[in-house]
Amino acid sequence: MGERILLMGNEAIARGALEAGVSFCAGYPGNPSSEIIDTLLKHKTLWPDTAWPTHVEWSVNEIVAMEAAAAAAFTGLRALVAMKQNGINVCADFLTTVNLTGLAGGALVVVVCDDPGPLTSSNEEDSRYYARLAMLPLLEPSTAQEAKDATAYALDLSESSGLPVIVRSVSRLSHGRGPVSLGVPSPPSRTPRFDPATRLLGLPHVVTRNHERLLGLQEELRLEMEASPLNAFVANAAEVAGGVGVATTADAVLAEKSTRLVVVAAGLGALYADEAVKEIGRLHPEATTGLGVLKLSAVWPFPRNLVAGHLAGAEAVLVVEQVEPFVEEQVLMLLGDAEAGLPPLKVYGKASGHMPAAGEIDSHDVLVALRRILALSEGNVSAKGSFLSAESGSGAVDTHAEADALRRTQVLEGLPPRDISFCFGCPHRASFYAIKAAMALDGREGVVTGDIGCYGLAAGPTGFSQLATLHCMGAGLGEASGLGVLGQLGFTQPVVAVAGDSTFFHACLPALVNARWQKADVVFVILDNSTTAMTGFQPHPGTPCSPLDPEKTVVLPEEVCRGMGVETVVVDPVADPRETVRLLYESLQAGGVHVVIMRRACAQYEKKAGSAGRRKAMVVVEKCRGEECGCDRFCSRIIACPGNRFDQETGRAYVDPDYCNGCGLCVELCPSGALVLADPHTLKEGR
Amino acid sequence: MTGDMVVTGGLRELRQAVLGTEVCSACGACVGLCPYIKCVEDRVAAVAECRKSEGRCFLFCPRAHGPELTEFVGQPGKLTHGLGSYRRLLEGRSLSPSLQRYAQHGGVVSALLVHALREGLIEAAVLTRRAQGRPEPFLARSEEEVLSAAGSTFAAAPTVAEVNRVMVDEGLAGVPLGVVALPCQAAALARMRRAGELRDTLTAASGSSAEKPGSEEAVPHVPDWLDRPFPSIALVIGLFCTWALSQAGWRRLLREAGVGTERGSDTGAGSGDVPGASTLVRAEIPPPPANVLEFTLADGVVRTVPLDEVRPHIRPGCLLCADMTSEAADVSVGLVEGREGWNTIISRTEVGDSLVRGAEEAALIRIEPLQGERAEHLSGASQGKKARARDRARERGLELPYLSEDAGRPAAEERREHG
Amino acid sequence: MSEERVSTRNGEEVPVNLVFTGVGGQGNVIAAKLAGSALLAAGFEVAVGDVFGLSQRGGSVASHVRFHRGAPLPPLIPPGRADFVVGFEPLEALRVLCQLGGPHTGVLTSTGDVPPTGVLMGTSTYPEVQQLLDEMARLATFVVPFDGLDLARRAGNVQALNMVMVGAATGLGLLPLTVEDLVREAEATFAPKLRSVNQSALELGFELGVSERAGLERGDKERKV
Repeated sequence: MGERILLMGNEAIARGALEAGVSFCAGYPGNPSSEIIDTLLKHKTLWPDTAWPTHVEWSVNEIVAMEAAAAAAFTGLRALVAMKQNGINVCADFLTTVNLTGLAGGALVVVVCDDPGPLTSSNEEDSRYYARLAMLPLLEPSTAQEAKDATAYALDLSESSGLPVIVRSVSRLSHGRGPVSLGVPSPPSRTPRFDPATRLLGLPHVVTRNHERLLGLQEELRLEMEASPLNAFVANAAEVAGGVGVATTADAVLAEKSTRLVVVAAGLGALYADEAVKEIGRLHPEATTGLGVLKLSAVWPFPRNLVAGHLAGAEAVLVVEQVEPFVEEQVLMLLGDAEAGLPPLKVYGKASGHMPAAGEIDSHDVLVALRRILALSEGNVSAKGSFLSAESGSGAVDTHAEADALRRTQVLEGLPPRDISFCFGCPHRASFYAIKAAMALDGREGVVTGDIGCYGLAAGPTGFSQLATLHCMGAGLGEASGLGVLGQLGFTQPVVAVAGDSTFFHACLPALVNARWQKADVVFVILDNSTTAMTGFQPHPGTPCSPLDPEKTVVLPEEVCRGMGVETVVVDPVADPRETVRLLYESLQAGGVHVVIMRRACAQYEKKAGSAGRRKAMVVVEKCRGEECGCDRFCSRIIACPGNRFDQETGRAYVDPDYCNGCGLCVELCPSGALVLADPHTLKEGR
Repeated sequence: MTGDMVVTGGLRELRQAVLGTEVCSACGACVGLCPYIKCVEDRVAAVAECRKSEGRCFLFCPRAHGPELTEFVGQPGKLTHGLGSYRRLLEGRSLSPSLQRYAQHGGVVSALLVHALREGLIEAAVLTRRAQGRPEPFLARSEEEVLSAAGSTFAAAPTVAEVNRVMVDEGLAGVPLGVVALPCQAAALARMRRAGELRDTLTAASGSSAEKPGSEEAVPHVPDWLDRPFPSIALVIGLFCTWALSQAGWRRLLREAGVGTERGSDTGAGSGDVPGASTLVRAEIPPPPANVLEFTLADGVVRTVPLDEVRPHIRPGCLLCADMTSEAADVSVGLVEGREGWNTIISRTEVGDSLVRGAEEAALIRIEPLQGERAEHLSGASQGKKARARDRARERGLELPYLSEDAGRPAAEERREHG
Repeated sequence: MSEERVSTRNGEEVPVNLVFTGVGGQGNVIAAKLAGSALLAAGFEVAVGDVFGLSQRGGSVASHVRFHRGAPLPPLIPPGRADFVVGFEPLEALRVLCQLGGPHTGVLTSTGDVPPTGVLMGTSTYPEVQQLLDEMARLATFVVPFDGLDLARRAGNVQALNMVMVGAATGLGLLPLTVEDLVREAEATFAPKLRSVNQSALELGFELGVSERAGLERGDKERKV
């Protein structure tokens, strides 16, 4: 208590929920949100001061997680659901019905972590619009400390308003680390009970009433946002204190008539704006006398009076936010609102082209925008030019800095890229090799529809560039179910849909039923590596029981498929690559729905679980054919596991034992039988 | 051997010319030499890219080259247009009751193999047998195993791949093998049998091209891709073939005709399975004017499929084939139209001819000269196939070296000798 | 050295910006977390910027560590503003130096190369490590290369490379910490059975950093491996 420790944004969110007495938490793994539930799962050992009964689960998908958490709120409990941007898309149906019925007395905080860029997502999205769509309060913290405070506050606000409250984070906040002061947790005080009189019904005649009530609530909520300490204004480029700001009223603003340009910055954008403004202040002190930063972290309902108040004396406003012009649009609407009484301001932001419209932003982008607006010397402003050019101080272009930047660009372009690839020993490598081979043998220009997970890398060279489509969870099989019925329209190409074991439970079940029901011709490959790997090895219903958790129910994918009446086979693609090819080929030829489960534990998971064997692959040099006809470096060029290397000098392959887990795939596939598995401790040097 | 420079290429050239195109006959010669080319059922495909500019895959492919190497069978002998070169045209049948029981027609192929095994000409044979309604390559090392593979199919299998496989997997390098081959496969095997001579030709050629005036004599260099053990193919028995069906097509025909294709649905001496009522005993095309494919089932029922429904399933590569009688084999064996229970036998090489003579002397077969009318008819049918192939190539705009007009003709001096 | 940086930019508090960079799986995330926590405990305002997940699959990774005495910092170092690049892998050290560094940037890097998949497959070439170091020397104010993997092995496990680099960065003066600060953080970070290897790695790295610091202060710009 009271100590300041370095926490990841997601850890701070978890801590905030606990400090506010959360007792039910659910989510589905999704980068950058996964650590929230990961942390909550171990909260008792991590933070002994939060040791009260809780239920924390990885649900099968986000909408089930949200429904389950909301139901806990119906009984009076405080609940949290956490997800990435795509997760809230999955939840949209529930979010837009429970907002109307309300939570019947409990509290629900919906934490959604957006991924500007994106860094690790299949789309780029601004989830704040859900707050507008569902008319829910929205908080957008800027630091780890604020993330904790905002989550706790969200639960309080949810309870008092009866509505779910959205806390929106972004990757750099969720995964960034910053100092956080821990507070004293308030344990939950209620025993869950569903009042028998409670009715939460989305019946048409009830909905109209609820909609009007919700609209009425907006005014109250807006006043809450107007007064929130999460919003702060700093004049004259002094520091913006995160979390504990100086709340200014409209009156105080009148005293700051000298503010010419107000930067309205939402969430993490406020820190970028602050850094950029400080930089301007250092280099062009005279330019910042009229500069102020309005940091917004209590964003919806939009605190329009606060914003209008700070814009009253300004000539221009620059809006800094990620991803879309959510706040910018509100500012533009204010200009058109006669009641707000604003002068004709210039609004700079994404629409004007001053801030990037797509991709993530940083301090540099804000600096460039400010320079343009304030007509300051640009110096070297190549795409990601150096801050340093500004240090020359003069208005002239700094040629030395320009040459330096040019050299850096040239060197950068000449460096070999580092493509992401499947880990050494990853079973997906074997699976996609088999898919590629089976499709080549089938010869009808087959289509592979893909999905989300580590195996999504199969869109690239590591997976032989097999994926033709990659959209959202379950889309692979859904698309395949559509392609698979086009035969009657003249379509002749076979279809393979791929999905992971976790994805299977998340989203594929309805698509599988549909494919069977519609009599589609689809081969559905489930890549079962016994975990949800990409997001951090979280469990799912099909994860095998461990000795530590023998009571856990396991739902086997093959039983589910067979229960639907679908032909299903299970094969180990690493141990039996040829059999895998044969099974796939036969399924492709047979028509109808076929499931091929390629089951082999994730190599990383094996390593973590300590079950990785001690034997490693090793090349028997005399048998290796190297670049000769009959091999042409098959292991290092085609299988291309990071452990398979080639020595140009000797013309022979070798295995780097630090990059080998002894899976044996290359041993199986070596055309010359030159690869064997052996215990490295009894071997000589591999080279 | 013509001694001409043999055109070489690697996987890239093979794919441009043959593999993955309609020209490929799925003989399987390119499979099993490396991990880049795979086969399953009758499908042969490249599964990854090899960078080599020269390789055995291109060398062995019968469709990537002109016919030079197949002329090794052009030993002095009579020539009737359309049948390739040969020594004797015969009709024959096996005399052994066990052979007769399992054979499709005259049982001569099995009898010749049995004799070859007994005489030590071969120690093992690569055949095709029917399993679960489709053909699969099979290595036989005993007479029983030979007999178990009796019976013909109308679908293709890449049998030469099995030859390559057994070299490595079964350690049969250097062991004399016999192969029962379709015409395209026999052509590939002829190239493979000549690989040793090729090695010498190419060595000499690369040596001479490296020679510079005034330099020392060039050291002969055997390219890595030729410096390999090759299968020791002691005997090729070629089958007559007008076309072959794809395995997918064959399966579909069986399914549509209500023929069982589950395990145990094929009879053969060694299968040991109990046949069900709907299992296939024999499939054949009766002589015209029937124009059907006939399936005879275990319960005696006969199901027919009109040939018009069968032809769409013919492999495209077969439509571009000009060889009906396996002109590159040691001895070719087929039906005799109008004489049930007998085979047409064409002995071509010394090996083939002495095998036939020996089997007769050992009372395994009985032979007679092929009756004149039947020889004419056979020649006509064979020439018809050549004409159809050339027409098709023209239609498809394909320049195919193996279909050139000189294909099948002996070297010039032999032509003069026999007018 | 970082103390100088903290105080000498126009007399104002300007953050010190350090990047840990390498290949996914080399442990830059834990390195940054440990360094960041130690800096916080030593009284600095700290921000650490990371990306997890996709980048771990053998891709380029970087962790930004920023510290000063002042207001909260955004987690990303703006281009050109990196003061120090600490490389677990030389190709990545050069890459980050180009992306985030300037002529004032100093580089500390391990020299063990990790070929990218394109290089292993034969579709691109990995430059000679000395070429990479030479280019770094052209672009940076100093380069200190050494064989981090060797020290990690001596500590007991190649996976401890990240701790070697944190120790070396501290010994070299890039982080205003003592080796005790680091060891204390290691105790809090690692499970008991992993502690001794990681602590040895920190110590061995620290010793190396200290010996290299003397050379730097003498004015030798670069070390040849």
